[in-house]
Amino acid sequence: MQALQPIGLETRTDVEGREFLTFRLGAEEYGIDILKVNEIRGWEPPTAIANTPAFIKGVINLRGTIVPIVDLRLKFRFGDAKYDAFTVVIIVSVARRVVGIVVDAVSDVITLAPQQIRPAPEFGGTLDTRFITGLGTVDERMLILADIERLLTSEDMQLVDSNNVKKG
Amino acid sequence: MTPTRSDSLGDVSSFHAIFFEETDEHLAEIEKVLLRLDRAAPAADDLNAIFRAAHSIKGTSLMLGFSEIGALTHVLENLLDSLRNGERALTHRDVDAMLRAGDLVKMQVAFRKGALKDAPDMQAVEEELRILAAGGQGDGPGARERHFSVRLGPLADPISDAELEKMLSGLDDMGSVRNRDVRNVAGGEIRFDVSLSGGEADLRSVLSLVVARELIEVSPLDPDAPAKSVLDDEGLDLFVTPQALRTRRASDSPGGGRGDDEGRFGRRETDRPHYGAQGDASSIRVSVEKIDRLVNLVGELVITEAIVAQQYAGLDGDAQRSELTGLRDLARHTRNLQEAVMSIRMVPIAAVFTRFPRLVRELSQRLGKEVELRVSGETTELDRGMIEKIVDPLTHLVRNAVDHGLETPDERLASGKPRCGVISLTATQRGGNVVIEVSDDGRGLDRERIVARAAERGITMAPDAPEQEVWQLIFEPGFTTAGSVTDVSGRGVGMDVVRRNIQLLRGNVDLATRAGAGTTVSVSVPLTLAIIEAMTVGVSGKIYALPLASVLEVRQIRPDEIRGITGQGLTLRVRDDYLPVQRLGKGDIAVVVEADGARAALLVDELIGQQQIVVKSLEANFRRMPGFSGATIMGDGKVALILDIAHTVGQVDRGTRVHH
Repeated sequence: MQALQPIGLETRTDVEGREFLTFRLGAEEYGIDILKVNEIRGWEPPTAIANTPAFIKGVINLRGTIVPIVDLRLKFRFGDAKYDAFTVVIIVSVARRVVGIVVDAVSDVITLAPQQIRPAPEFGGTLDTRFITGLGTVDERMLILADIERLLTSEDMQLVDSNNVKKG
Repeated sequence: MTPTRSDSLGDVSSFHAIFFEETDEHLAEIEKVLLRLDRAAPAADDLNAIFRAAHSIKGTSLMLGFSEIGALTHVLENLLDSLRNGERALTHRDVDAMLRAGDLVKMQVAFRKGALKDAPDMQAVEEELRILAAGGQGDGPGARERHFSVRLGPLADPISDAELEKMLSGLDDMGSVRNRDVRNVAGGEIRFDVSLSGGEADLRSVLSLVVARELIEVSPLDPDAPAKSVLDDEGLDLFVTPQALRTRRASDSPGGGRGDDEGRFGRRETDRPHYGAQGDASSIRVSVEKIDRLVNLVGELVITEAIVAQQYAGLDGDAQRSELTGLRDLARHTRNLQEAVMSIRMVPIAAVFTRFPRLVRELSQRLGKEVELRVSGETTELDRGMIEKIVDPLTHLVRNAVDHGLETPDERLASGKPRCGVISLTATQRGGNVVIEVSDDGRGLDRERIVARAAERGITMAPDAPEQEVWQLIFEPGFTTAGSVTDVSGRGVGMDVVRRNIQLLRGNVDLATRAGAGTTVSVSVPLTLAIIEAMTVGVSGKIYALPLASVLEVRQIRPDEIRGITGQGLTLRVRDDYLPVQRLGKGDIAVVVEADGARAALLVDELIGQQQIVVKSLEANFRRMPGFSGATIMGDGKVALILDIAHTVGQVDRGTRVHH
C-alpha cells in the first residue's frame, strides 16, 4: 500500500550515510554498495569455459541459475590467486545480472557518512578511476569505493555482450 | 488445406465470445478498483485503470454493434474524465453510480448471451452518470455534452505544431474534436467541431492559450444532431474489421511482452467456434511470470530428482529396493508434472499464422502478383517463447515466397499455370519437433543463376555438384539471386539470417525446389526451448551435453582410422564418407553429428549417458559464448555446457571444405 508509506523514508540513508561491504584485494581495501550484494559464498570450483580470459573462472550453479565467476585478483594482477577454504566469492546483482566476484577476504560492513567520503584523485590505483566513486576514511583505513556495476559491465570485463552494455 | 477466411463479416459471432469474456474481466477490474478507491484522494493510476477498462469495453462494443453498452460506457468515461482532471472531488454518489453502471453492463452482456430474458433498463443510470459528469447539478443545461463549432483565424502567423497538437489533444481530453480543417499558415484558418461537458467559457479559455482572444469564434451547434454523431464518429474511428482485429490481436501479442497481452495470447482460441459457448469458467488468465516461475521450479525439481537418483544408484542390496521403487515413482511423477507444466506454455501456432494473410495481401498488391494463401495445421502447439522467436524468420520466408518464389500473373500464364499463385503454410508436429513449411508453386530456384552468383562471390561449384549442395549456397551471408533489389527483398539479408535465427532455437532449415514447380522451405524447431534430450560426454575431465537430435552415431575408433590431409585437418572414414574431425579431447570415441546438412566427427574421451536436460541460459547473467548454446545442471549439481553443434560443425567444415 503505497499510501501508507511514511514520507521521507527513502531519503533517510542519505542523511545517515551509506553502507558498504568492504573486502581486500592485495594490499588495498575496497568498498562496494551493500545493496548490490546478494550473498557471500565459499569457493567452489566453477565449470570452466573455453576461449575466455583467465580471470573469468567459469560458471556455477547458484540454485538453478547459471552465474559467472570473475576473479578480480587475476583481473587486476594482485599476485597469486589461491583457491582454498578461505577464498570468498561475493555474489552481486548488477544491471539485472547476477555475478560472482572472487576477492582475497571480506572485511566487514561499514557505514560511511557523506563527510567521510572524498572524491577520488585523478591519478592512480590499480582500478581505473572511471570505476571509483570516491575514497572513504574510517579511522586510519582508506577505502576505495568502487562502482561495481560499472566495473562489471565495462567492456574489458567481457562479462556482457558488448551490444548489451547499458550506457551510463 | 483450408483457404484462409476472406474479409467477410460472417464470422463476427466468434468475436462475441471474446468480447463477453473480456468485458467480464474489465468489469471485474473496474469493480475491484472502485472498491479500493480512496475517496478523499483517489489515486490517478486507479482512475486511469477504470478509464482504460471502460474505454476498452466501449471500443469493442461499438465495433460489434452493442450500442447500449457503448453509450453507457461513453458517459462513464465522461464522468471519469471529469474526475481525472480534478474538476471535482470523488463522491460516494459517483462510486455508487459507477458500480451500478458496471452491474448494468454485466446484465446487458448476460442478456446478449441469452442468460437473461429481458434487456436491463440502462436509462436511469445513464442519466445519473451524465448528471454527475456535468458536476452533479441535476438536469441543468450543463448536464449534457454541449457542441460547438470553432473557428480560429485568420492567423497572423502559423501556430507551432506542438502547441496546436497540445490544444487539440487537450480538447479531446475534455470531450471530442471532430471535422478538423486545419490550414495552419499565415492568413489561414483552423476550424473544428467540439463536444464537451464544460461550457463555452471553458472552451474559450483553452483556446485562448494558443490563439489571441479576438481571433476565436465559437458558435453553439444544434444540440441534438451532433449528440448522435458523437457515437457515430467514434464508432467509425473505432471500427475495424474482424480480420484486422484478429491480425492485430495476433501481432500485438508476440512482440508485446507485457504480462497482460501474453495472457490473452495464451488463451487465444478465436478459431474455435464452440469456445466460450458452454460457460464462463473454461479459461483463466494467468500472468506469464507465474507460469515461468512454475516452469523454473519444476526444472529444479527435475534436477533434484536426478541428484537423489544418482546418490541412490551408488548403493545396492535388498535394503534399497523399496527406496528404488519410491524413486522410480518419483521420477515418473516428476516427468508427468514437467510435461503438464510445459503444456501450459503451449500456444497454437495460429498466433503466428494469422498475421500472414494481411502480409501476403499487401505484398501481392505491391508487387502486382496474385496470391492465394493456404494455411493448415494452425492448431499445432508450440512453446510460447518459441512462438515469439519464429515470427521473424517465418515472415522472411513468406516475403521471399511472394517476391522471389512466385511469378507475375503474365509469366504464370505463359508457362501454363493459373494466374493466381499459391503459397501454403503448414505446421505439423513430428515427435519433439514442429515442422513448419512455407511452399510456393512458383518458378523454383534457378541452379544456373545460383552457381553464377556464387562464382561472382568466389565460390566455385563443381558442375556435377549435388542439388542439395547448390541450394545450400543461398544460405550464405549476403547471397541473393534477385535480379533487382526490390523494397521487399533481394538485398541478400535473408536466408542466412533466417537460418541463424532458427539455429539459435536449435532448429534446422531445409529447402526443396524444382525448376518451374516451386520451392518449399521447411523449418523444424523443437517444441520447447526449455528441455532437450541430450547425450552427455566427458572431455578432459569435464562434462558436455550434445543435443541428441544432432547426434547420428557414436563409435569407438582405432587411432589409425584418423587420417590427416595436408592443410586440411583430420578426416575419419565413416562407411563411404570422409568426415572432418574435431578433436575435443584425447579419447578415441567418435560422435558423428550433423547440422545444416553438414556432418562431422567429434572425438571425445568418454560417453557418459543420455538424459533429458533443462536448458539454462548463459546469457541471462553472462553472455553468448560461441560454440555453446547454453548450459545445464547435472545430477551432481555441477554445470555442464551444451555444445552448439551447428557452430562446431561449421568450424570444422570451414577448415576442410574444398571449394576448388
